[in-house]
Amino acid sequence: MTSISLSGWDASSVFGTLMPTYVPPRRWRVLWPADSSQWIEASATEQLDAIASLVDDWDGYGGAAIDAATIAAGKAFLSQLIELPHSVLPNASGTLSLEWDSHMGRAHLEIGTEKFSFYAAPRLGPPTFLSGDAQVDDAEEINNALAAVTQTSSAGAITPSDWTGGIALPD
Amino acid sequence: VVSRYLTRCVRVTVADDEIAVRAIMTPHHLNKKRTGLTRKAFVSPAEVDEVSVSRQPYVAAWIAKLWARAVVQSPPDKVYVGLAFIDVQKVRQAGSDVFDSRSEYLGHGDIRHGIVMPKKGVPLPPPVLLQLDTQLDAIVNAAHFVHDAKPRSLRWSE
Repeated sequence: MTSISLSGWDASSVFGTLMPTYVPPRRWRVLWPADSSQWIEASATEQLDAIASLVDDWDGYGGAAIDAATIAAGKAFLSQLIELPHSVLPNASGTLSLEWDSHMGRAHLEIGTEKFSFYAAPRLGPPTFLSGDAQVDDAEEINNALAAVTQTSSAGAITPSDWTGGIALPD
Repeated sequence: VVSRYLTRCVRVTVADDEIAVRAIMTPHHLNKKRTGLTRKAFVSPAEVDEVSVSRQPYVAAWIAKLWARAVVQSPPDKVYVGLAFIDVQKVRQAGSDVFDSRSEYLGHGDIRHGIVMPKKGVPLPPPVLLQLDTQLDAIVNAAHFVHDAKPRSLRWSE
């Protein structure tokens, strides 16, 4: 007697030609959505690309889509910053936020279509406020302010030799 | 008559001991570890100062969940993952306030930060941005986010 084993086969490969792919109706797709964890694990640039694809009302509360000019400005900032942001997020007002948060303080760069706003608030000391044209050529001021709230040093920031009186520390 | 009676039952003044409920959506309302909230969970859209919430005494959690899944979420970009609960008193301590807005639906409220967001694509001035973030951080820290273990279920069980 001959037996036919289907181990290693799945129903779709056996009946694939007979059974068309089932696409649930729109209402079902709302109730059983796909997982969006891929966005969380993406790099900052990939997150910007994902943000660029958002349409109006992307958050369900009337959030505005992010303009291409804002995305381009965000990528230009990313290429010039000494410390990559801890989070890259769209704002409901159509702007883009790059945020840093550490035990030394927090910083927030909000990028709009034409202008940007920035603050760095260290745990100790007064905050630094900066604003200007979103098409920035040099982010040195931002980098200097960022160094105060992150562990990354930038040109002009305090280096170990400054606080050891010039004595080199062993590695 | 029933409608008028229900309308009168919902107080226009939002009391300190009420709890506001906010539907949380991925990916932008959650942090990278997907364990806590970001400030964006409580940010207003352009040109307004309104963050939609449900008032817990009048809107049950399962109704807030149903509303979030049926109306607010839009997969795959925006998916309901749970609800955030926050004491109205703590919202007020953070410098924001909660008002009744029954024109949306009976039991609907708005958190207002006292800062109207600028036009689309225009960032807030840096000192105002810091002020808003300080308020938002206080609200996020005071909020109790409950990750919905069964988002597909019609029931809400904490």
